[in-house]
Amino acid sequence: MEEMTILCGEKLSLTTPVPRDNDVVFPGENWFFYWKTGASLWEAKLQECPIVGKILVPINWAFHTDTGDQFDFADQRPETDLKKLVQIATKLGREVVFLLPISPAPFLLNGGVPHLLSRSLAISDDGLGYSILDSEKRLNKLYSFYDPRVFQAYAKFVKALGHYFSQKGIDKDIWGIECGYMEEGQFKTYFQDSSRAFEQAFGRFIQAKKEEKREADPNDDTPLISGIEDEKFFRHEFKNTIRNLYLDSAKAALNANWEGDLKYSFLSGDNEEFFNRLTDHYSRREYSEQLFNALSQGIVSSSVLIPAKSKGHILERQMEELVVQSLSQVTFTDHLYDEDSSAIFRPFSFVEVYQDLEGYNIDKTWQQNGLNAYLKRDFLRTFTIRDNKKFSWEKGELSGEGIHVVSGRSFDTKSFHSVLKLFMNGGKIIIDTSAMNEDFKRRLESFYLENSLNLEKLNYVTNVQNISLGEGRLVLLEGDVLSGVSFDKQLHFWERIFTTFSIRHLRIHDEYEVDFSWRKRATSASELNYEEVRRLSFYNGTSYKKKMNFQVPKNFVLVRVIDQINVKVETTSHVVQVEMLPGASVSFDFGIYS
Amino acid sequence: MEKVFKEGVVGIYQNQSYSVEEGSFYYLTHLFDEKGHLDYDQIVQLYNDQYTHPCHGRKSIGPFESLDELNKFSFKLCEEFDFSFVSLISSGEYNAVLESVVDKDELLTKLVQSGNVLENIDRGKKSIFKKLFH
Repeated sequence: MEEMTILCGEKLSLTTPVPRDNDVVFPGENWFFYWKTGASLWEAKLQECPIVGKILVPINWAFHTDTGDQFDFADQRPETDLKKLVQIATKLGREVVFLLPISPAPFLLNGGVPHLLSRSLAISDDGLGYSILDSEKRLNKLYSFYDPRVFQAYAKFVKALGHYFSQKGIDKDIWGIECGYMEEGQFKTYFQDSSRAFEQAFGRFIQAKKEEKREADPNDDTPLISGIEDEKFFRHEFKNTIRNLYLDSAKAALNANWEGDLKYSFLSGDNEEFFNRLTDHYSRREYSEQLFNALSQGIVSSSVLIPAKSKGHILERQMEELVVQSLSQVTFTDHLYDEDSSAIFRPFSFVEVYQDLEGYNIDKTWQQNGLNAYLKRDFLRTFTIRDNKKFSWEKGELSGEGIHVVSGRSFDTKSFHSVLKLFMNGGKIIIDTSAMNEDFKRRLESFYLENSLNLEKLNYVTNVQNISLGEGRLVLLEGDVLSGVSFDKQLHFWERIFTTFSIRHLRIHDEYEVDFSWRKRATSASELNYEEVRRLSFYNGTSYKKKMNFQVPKNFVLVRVIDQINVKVETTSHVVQVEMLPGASVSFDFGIYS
Repeated sequence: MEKVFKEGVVGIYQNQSYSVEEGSFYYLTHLFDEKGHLDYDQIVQLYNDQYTHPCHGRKSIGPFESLDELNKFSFKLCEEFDFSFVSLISSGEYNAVLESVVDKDELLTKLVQSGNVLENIDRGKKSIFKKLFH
């Protein structure tokens, strides 16, 4: 068993808080660190733990091997017996989901890399080795996944893991998790590395690319890399290549159990926060912001790096309500339509904005034409940003709900067909046709003609076209023109566009500086006069008392006020007044009807 | 924590090139004391007051043409914010320290001790003046 490290390596004083054992083993969001306690205690711990829902078990690669060649799955240490863990959980009526890191993992010693292979520190963009303090304040240094020996060992491990799962008949789901953190609203993966191992491997990659180029055209003298942009492009391509190597090897080896891969954002997992943590300071407001930024991109957050006693009531509540009871439930559950699932308050958004999230340059399309600013003003916490690759009808990623906003600049045949299929199935799409390929524009025109669709044209700030077919709507506009007008005009433009969609929404503006979230669920048998139930939750993470009021719009009925902590709520006909002390939180349930 | 820092600051710097045309310069990427990261807005303001060209950004205080310039700015920091010292450490030195330590306390102690320590020797004198005139 890995040594309990609660008391090791720490200077004790009368005032040193000692983490409770359960906080170490259950660090948050239903995670269970099986290696942090004896196997003989698993049953007792799982029985007494207050976890509701599935137990998420990250797999600790280094725990199952010292050398990277021989693997321990209950051969030597009982704590490596994942089959026994599953049996115990099943006996207790608990469901287990395994999480397999496919990148350096901040919650594991050496990022998960076995000790003998931990040679090259992974280096972040600021030139510093990635270093993390976990919930026991232990220093975890992350080691580079670009070392070929690390990849070879990883590939061996996942093969052995797959074989073990198959042999033992373990049929539980496995999700690959790419670990990272949120920084200024962007997800940063720990695969972003500029270590010596990366540079050496990148050098070999470029050599291979040069060979490829030479073989393709021996007469072509042009250099492969002729400037900074080329270099960025190839670095990005290389990073994705290696990332996909790890992902594909895990998928292939664990095919029978593989459910997919996820991005996981670890609160306090960035270098800036590391230096605060080094001096025992916690930026809870910053963690909340990271959580909300991650949610707006459908990324799951984790607070497992933060000691339980340092999370604070507000962050704990946010993680519980928005991640454990909501996003995780939706992500890890198989049956979205059974009775239990309909009671889950799930995240929702009115608007899904598609942009290039995985490119090497930040996609500023929606910033420049004012859409981002407008959505933050009128649809704060109810719009989601998705990567262009997710705009795919074939992959079942698109739902008929919500308004999809896409840029014609990024169109390919697949996304073009997805637009048409979504539209024909009642979907609502706004397309920025700036820089759209002329071929796609012609095909759209043919589409209108073939289907005898009525095209409405309008010139308001820019050219706008609207096509309707049943529930479906296509709105085409030239977004680049908007980039040249004033900010106020941009906001006004988008306001007019979105008003035409008649979205039933209670707008909460940012001026109160109080965190809030929206979720929704289906109605129960006793709520059939409503179409759905939406929950608005407020969290005052500031050190100030906050007073807010909002008007309950038409088509909304305030059904109940719940989970009030340090809050005073007064309701008069259609106005709700809320007074929140520092650290206060409250939720409002609204029935929505036509 | 106070015993380690003694009212001083650790500054980590990097030699970085943001464009081929401009060449490479020094940037302060992390500045922290016993209370954690310093307020970058104030530091950016101090930089903008000292130099005609604007500061690169919150996460990269600079550019500084040479280590000398960086040291001068660090002394200015001490003066302005009344730090007892700035321990300047390069990103390469930081990584070497990181590889050599096993826990956070050892890391912190080494960061304070291993850097190029620029002491604010005028700090004591100022205190005397303050006592005389206030």
